[in-house]
Amino acid sequence: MGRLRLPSPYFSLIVWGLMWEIVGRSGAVDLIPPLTDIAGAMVELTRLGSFWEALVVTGKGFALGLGLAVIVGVPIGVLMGLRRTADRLLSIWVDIFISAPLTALVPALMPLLGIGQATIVATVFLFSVWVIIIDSQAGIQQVNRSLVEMGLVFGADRRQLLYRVILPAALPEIATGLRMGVIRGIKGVIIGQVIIALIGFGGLFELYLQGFLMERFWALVFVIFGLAFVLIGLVERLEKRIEFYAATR
Amino acid sequence: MPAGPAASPLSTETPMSEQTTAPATSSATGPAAGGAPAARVRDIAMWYPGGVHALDGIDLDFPTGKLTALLGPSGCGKTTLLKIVAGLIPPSGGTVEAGGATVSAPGPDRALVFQDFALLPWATVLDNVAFGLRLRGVGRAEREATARHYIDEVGLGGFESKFPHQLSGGMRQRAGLARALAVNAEILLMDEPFSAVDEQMRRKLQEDLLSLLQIEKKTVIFVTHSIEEAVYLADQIVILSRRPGRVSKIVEPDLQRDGPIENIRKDSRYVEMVDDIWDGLKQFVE
Repeated sequence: MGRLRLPSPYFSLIVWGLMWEIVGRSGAVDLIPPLTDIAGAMVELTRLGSFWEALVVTGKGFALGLGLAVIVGVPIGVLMGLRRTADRLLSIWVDIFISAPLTALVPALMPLLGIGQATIVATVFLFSVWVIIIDSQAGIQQVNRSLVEMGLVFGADRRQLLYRVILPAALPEIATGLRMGVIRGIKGVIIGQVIIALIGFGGLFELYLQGFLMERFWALVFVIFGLAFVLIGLVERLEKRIEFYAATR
Repeated sequence: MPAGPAASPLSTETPMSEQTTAPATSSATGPAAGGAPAARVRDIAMWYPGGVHALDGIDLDFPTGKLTALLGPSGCGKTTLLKIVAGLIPPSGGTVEAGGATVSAPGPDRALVFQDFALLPWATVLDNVAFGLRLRGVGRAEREATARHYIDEVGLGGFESKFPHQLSGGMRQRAGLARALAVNAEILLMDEPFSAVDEQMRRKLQEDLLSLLQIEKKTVIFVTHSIEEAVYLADQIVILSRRPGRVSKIVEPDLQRDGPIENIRKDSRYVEMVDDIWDGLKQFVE
């Protein structure tokens, strides 16, 4: 028993990588080039001006959309947590859009906003804003009742109660919403670009598939996966820190 | 509290009942004059939405400088009564007076010690204790000096920069007590403050509270479900009946409190009183 150790999670990754390499080397499937070639293409990719341009465009679209979603989503969620009227008016919309397949909306956005960055920003916004609203509202609603009473007993006015008690107490939940918003926003920006197929990584994907540059195609896929993991990891760390800071017992 | 706990406190706290005519007090005595109670409630009734009748016809005086215990079975509305006095809950009927003025909202004359401590988890002990002063706009140096004074007084010296989650339950409640003392309110409202700590710690906290009250002359309203705690601590014990809570009996433990505090528990009258109250309370407990 003592000798048996569970394989590391990376073990399975390595096995699949090897299989990929073998299939790729055999040349049986045109769509699957060997992994080593893809790795080479990744290095190549970083030397391409078009890749960096795409990265900047994507980053901008993502940041703008997410920024808007935070600026709009957090206050709306907070308001819905504080005021029952706001909750009544808005919760039905939030419930619809949180689970709706928003990808279907992107083609509808194009004639409205044009085939460009504006549509990407709107897509990111639409993907991320709802979860930010929901978690902000939940955060406010979960604030410990006696913390609110404490604030009132010690003379807090509305402003003080909101900024010194309620918002800080809701912060961990709001941060969770932010993390979920980032995850959804990444999906949004890539889906938007792929559908539009002209700008950013979407344009590159289109180019590589048209030219059947499969090494580059896969290299780009892996790079985007990697970037997403790194970004989400960073946001997770931020969330942990906020949770620690506002540790609720 | 699924309806958003913050909803009600943020919407204005105007109670429905503010008929200023309190049933005539012995009005010859001014508010500051000796003998006048620090607070009084008259004909307090409380119905919760949904028809729960929590309190009925409560008339009570809370004598200045004395500790009044509100004792009763769970669900008798004692915490509700305390929160009505605090101004957190508007009563369905009746009036509350503190320092001669009608109470309709929380005020600087009343501070509350919470059952679950209600410390800000993200703030240090120092910031938590200074919180009330900060809300009042007291400058940093002054409020921290005041806070340090009371932190020392409740026996938390050295823990100023700790966070609540780094403290034991007993220490957290000491911080809660220091916060209530720091705002220098005349009336200290305590909502089962020691019920969340273990037995030994509770005894220690009770003893320390009595010593503290010998220094800080406060009028205390103390909610408890423990007969022993009430007899040990209180100058006046108000026994509430089961829902709807009514004043069933008021007893005044006449215990020798001048000597060392440890002596109280050895006093034969302490034991007798606990038994007496239990006999009276049994009927409310099924």
